Amino acid sequence: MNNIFCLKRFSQLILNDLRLRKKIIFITAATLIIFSALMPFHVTSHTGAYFFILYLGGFYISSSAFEEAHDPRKAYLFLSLPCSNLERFLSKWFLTSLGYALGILAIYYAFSWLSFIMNTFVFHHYMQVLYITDAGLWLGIKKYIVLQSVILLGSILFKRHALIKVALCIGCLFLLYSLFSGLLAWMFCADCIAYPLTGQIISSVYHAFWLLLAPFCWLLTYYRLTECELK
Amino acid sequence: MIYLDELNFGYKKHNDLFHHLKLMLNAGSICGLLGENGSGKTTLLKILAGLIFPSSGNCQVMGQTPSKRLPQFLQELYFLPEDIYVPAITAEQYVNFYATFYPRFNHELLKQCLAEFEIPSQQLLTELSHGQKKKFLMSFGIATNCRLLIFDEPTNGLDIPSKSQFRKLLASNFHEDRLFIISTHQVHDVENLIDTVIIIENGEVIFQQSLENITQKLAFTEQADMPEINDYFYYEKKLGGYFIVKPNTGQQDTRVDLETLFNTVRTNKAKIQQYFAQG
Repeated sequence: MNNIFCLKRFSQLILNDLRLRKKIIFITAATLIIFSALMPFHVTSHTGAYFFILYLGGFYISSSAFEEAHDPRKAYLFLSLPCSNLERFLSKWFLTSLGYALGILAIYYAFSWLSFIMNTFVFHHYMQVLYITDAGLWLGIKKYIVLQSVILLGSILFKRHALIKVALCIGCLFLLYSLFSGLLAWMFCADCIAYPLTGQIISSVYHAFWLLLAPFCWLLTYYRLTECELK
Repeated sequence: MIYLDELNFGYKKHNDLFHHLKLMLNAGSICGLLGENGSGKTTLLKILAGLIFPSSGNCQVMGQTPSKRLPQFLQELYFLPEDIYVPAITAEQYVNFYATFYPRFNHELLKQCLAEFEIPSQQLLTELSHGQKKKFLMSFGIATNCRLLIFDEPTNGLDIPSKSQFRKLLASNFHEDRLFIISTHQVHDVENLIDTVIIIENGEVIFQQSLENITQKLAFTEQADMPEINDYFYYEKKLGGYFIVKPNTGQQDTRVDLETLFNTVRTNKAKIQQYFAQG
């Protein structure tokens, strides 16, 4: 028996989560449909609305991903269900991160086609379908996956109002980052001789941030989950 | 099956609830965990279920460390807390969602249990009464065929017929490979069911004996006159006489009254422990 990861248990966890939240999924989907129907048809051909739904909705659902672990009445079922902590973590991650992004993309893409058909055949107005291979689209999804990892970590760390608390923490971190980069610039760029070097350092920190942030947050979320108790 | 050694646990630092706790339980028994409110019954059960972690000491349940919460361990354990939660789904859906996690889940047995408790399978669980919810979760727990079943105050909220149905179901689904631990402060509800009594006080196991041993060692008798000093461990005034717990010197076969036993142990801890330790 595999005590770390079993695809059957993992898929069952995902299925259970989806089935238990089917009401909220249907309400969200209905809202999206109404929202799209009320908007001019060409909205769905741009990635802007998709990113709006992806980031806003994604951050919201991610902030409540581990609410079961914080509710003493629900936690016993969540923690004593025969599956590994890794499966618990991955199922929540998948549903709020990659799965959510792709699921919303699939719905949005379908709407884009509907919009295209309606515009072409009803209004005789030619428009483009959502360009699914657009590099910008996938970069936006990648950025969502990275940033969402912070919210996911917040949802396991904070019992309530995870989204607000995470936003505050991020604000503080960015303030520190700005101070740090400002300090570097002040120290080495007074005469602007060392500017390229400072620019390189700041750029390295920026790249390292994007590269390491998500794995770091995932790791912390997983370890916090393993330490979760029903106190 | 359960081995606790030098176990320490406290909700606050420097304020241990369990201090060097020792406990050993083998499969093949239905244990009644008795104790006053706040004595540590629920905490102990949560530690056994891997829901809270001891600060130090050795805790082995079915050869595993509960705090690791490995699937192999969890699929052999079913924990029913006092404060239950059911999602807004039907009993049938609940079974579809969760039964697959338990490899030996017996659907036929669940049907029997639900029929016995008269639980509707098509109604939303959240619409059921508290007692019905509890009976459903108990039935589910029994049907999982887990080796270790932990019920925390299972009879709270159950009506009188349900209490006897609960005893009947547990007794009929018990076998030598299983260990049932039932924590309760309503001792009469588990009478005629449990075969081992564990009494816990201020985070310490002060008494752990099989009912057979208790029957051999203690006599629970009634008499009209007040008992003589040194003739008894404990007595209670009742209508028309006295209920006495005394050493079973005459090999009498008396029925163990759990409530009186509990009061006896609580008021004569050292004396009782010494008496049982004599062998």
